[in-house]
Amino acid sequence: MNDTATLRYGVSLYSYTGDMNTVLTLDDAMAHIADLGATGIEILGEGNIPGYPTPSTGWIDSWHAGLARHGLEATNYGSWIDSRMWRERDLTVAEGAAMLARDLRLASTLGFTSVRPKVGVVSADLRPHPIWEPVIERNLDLAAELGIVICPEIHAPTPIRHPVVDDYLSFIERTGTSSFRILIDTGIFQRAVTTVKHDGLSEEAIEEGWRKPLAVPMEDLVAVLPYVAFVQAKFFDIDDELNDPHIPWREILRTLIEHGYDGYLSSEYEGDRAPYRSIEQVRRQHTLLRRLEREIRAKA
Amino acid sequence: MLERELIQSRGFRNVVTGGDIAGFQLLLRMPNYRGVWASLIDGVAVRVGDRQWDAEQPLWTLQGRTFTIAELRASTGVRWQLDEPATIFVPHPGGLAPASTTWPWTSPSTPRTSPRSSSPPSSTPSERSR
Repeated sequence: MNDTATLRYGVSLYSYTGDMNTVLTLDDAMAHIADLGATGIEILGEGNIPGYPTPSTGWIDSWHAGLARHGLEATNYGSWIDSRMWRERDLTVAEGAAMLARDLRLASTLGFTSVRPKVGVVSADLRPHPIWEPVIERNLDLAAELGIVICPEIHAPTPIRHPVVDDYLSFIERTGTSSFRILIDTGIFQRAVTTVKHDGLSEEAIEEGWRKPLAVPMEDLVAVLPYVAFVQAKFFDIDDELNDPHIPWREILRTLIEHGYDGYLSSEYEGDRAPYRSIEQVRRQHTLLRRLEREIRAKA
Repeated sequence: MLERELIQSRGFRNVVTGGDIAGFQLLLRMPNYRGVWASLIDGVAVRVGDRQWDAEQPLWTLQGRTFTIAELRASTGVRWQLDEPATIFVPHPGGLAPASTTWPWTSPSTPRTSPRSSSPPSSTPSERSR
């Protein structure tokens, strides 16, 4: 048991999808996150930055003022490299590299320490478009200069033991970089089917993405944990007794604590998008995670 | 703040061009979780009662610039942002007649506007547009 490592808690604004801009301002969201005793705020760059990719200096100032006022730090910045941006051709490496560079600079301006790029996928098991490797390699020096870690996410239906992850780890080995790591989305540990429905997604996407529990074993997490820079604490529904029927939080936390993970757990609520529901669900998750952490450390 | 429904009630009105009503407009909230580059927009088909307009017909106004669907697909640097509704202009000389209606409209799962009612809301679009 590694007692010196501390878990850090945060929330991704993705949790508040649908509530942002309709019932929550950015300042409201920051206040909710701070009220949990959490310290980290994660954003989706193009989703949460007004005027993206060129926010006004006034907005940038208000972002930093908000962090200071609520006692929060900027954690992870989600970016996209839309490889299918054009109907008649794929994105080129140069175009993709320019997009990532733009997001790295913007993330740095806003104080983020990691950037999760999502490149368009070319298969149902989420193999990224092959431009991913040269696009990221061209940005490693910039990321190092800005003090940012680039970390693509491992997301269902891609498990940890998979060529996508093997390729990422080989990339780290080949380049010797410390500016590239992986991000784990806890949806890969899902053990039970969820019935959540999201507007605008095909049945196939819902079936592949949510209903089919991937149930990745904890030993696989242990194997890659030295390369994990960030954890998105994906969940769908926690009842009022604080039971999560889908994600095995006790096992996940025990594994992270025993193996000395000292990074963030950043809430990603992905359940029903009824107004205000996200706020209550994130509160339940933080209460649950902190209770489990106390229990696990008490038994150590 | 925007309204929760994808089809916003604010901004819905007939549009007067050169003294004549050229059609009507409505504001649409971006339905996904991250916004989208305009070149990726498929378009929006509109139905009001038994009148229909296919996805190629409406004009889009994003960030102060107005585009056809073909122009959107070729555009660079234009986005449909989460906090900036798109203004959809539907060409319809004479516009929609003012009438009372059931409100709110049902917002569908994709940006396809299909108001249940056969009439626009109980405002006077031709007056509001001036």
